[in-house]
Amino acid sequence: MKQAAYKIALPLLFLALWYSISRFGHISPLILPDPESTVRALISLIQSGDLALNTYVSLKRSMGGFLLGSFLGVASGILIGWSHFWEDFFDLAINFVRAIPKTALAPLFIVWFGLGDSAKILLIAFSSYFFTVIPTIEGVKNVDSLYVKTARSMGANEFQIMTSVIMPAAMPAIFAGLRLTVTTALIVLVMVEIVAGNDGLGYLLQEARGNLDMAIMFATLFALGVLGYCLDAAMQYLGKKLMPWRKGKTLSM
Amino acid sequence: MNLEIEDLRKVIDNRKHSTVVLDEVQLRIGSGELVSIVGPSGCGKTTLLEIIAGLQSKTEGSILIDQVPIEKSSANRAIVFQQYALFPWLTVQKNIQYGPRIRGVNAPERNRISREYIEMVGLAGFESHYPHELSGGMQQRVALARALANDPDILLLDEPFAALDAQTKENCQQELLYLWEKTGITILFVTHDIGEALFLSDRVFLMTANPGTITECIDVDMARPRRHSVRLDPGFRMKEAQIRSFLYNGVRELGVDQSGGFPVRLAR
Repeated sequence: MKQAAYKIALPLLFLALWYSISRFGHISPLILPDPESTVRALISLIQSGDLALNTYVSLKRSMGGFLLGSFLGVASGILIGWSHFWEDFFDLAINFVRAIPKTALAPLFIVWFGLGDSAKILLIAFSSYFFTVIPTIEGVKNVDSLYVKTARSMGANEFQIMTSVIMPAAMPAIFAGLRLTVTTALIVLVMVEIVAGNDGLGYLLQEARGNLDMAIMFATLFALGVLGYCLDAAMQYLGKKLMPWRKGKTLSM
Repeated sequence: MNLEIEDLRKVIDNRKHSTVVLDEVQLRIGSGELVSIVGPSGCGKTTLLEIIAGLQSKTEGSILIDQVPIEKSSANRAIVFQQYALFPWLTVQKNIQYGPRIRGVNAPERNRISREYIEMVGLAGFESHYPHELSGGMQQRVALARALANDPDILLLDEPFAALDAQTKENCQQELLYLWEKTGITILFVTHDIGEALFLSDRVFLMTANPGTITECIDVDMARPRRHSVRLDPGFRMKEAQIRSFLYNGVRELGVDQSGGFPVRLAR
């Protein structure tokens, strides 16, 4: 109960600040809408179905790209972390391409794959790949060699070591990477929808700017926050389900 | 199960120079024996054990089990490490079932095996605990049970009790003797604790470093079953002193400080 009060204190403070600035600060609603009109805009977005439709479109793109990219990232990361051959083979290529900001590739992807969903999904997949492959490689390389020795001494073959030791042992690192990747998938999504969208939450923001409708813009930002928060919570939940042995294992008291 | 090691040599090549880790190692262990290897840290005990387990390659020499040369690692040579190396993502029961599971033993049989060994090491009621929820002594018992669940011919123990406090250590030693008497398994026990080696073993091999080789074999002819009170026995203490002087001399000749394993003071 006390903890819940602590958690909600800061958001309430922000809300109060926002309210008093918009109410008493003589700031144009073209710069800062007040909380009531933002809530009204949000309700209108919900009632018209615009919010649901655009959230669905955005979710489809970001999850499609996330699943594709992170699957390839985890699979190849395990391979690269496990074998020196593949590590040397991929090292330069991965680290070079990784250094290019993925948003800088948006124009290229649009030229290659058009203005539809495929360019957006592929760009999100591309960035998701790099955000999962690195932590996966590190996670696999950091697996305690004693676990591998133990499994090998009991007669496990390389495939069994991979599936029954390397994968579970590296899973915490992989999951930490996946959690970050979900967030970055949303970043790339919104960017690419702003640049080249005719639907989606990023497009709503762009449209609101064109219409000078700041209340809609704030309502959409709020919806994006809720979406990102829910996706992160879902990942955390999934992590707890898949790694029950890590329950209650923290450093703090 | 007879283990015979002849003229074993292990050289590790680095880019700059090569190090002879083991040289002219001779070792014979008969079926059902419990023998120890005692030596200072860095003398190559762990390397020797891992070569027998098939986790490292040898450079020269032969290792025969019942006259057959060993090849790669196999479930009939089980190894237990000082750091337990329990899989943290598996429960006690699943850890113990690991070996049978990768060999393709079916579920009812796996459950029977894990029940038997959980019972044997006295961990009934802890089946669904995760390793981090157990104390060090309990974790090491799980590691022992996991090794035994493969029904090995020989159990290779690499300083298994070194990380435990004195009292837990003595309990674990007593329990190991109980397990050994109950299963009749052959055990090769590596330690730097002279008292531990004497208390447990039929014979104690002494190992010196640079290069690692076995220099002495000492028979321990004390009656079994043994209790910890045997440590106060004059015969026990004499053997302990004898081993200590052997090892000290070995270290002194080399003139290096092997303080990792023994509080050695070099003679002036």
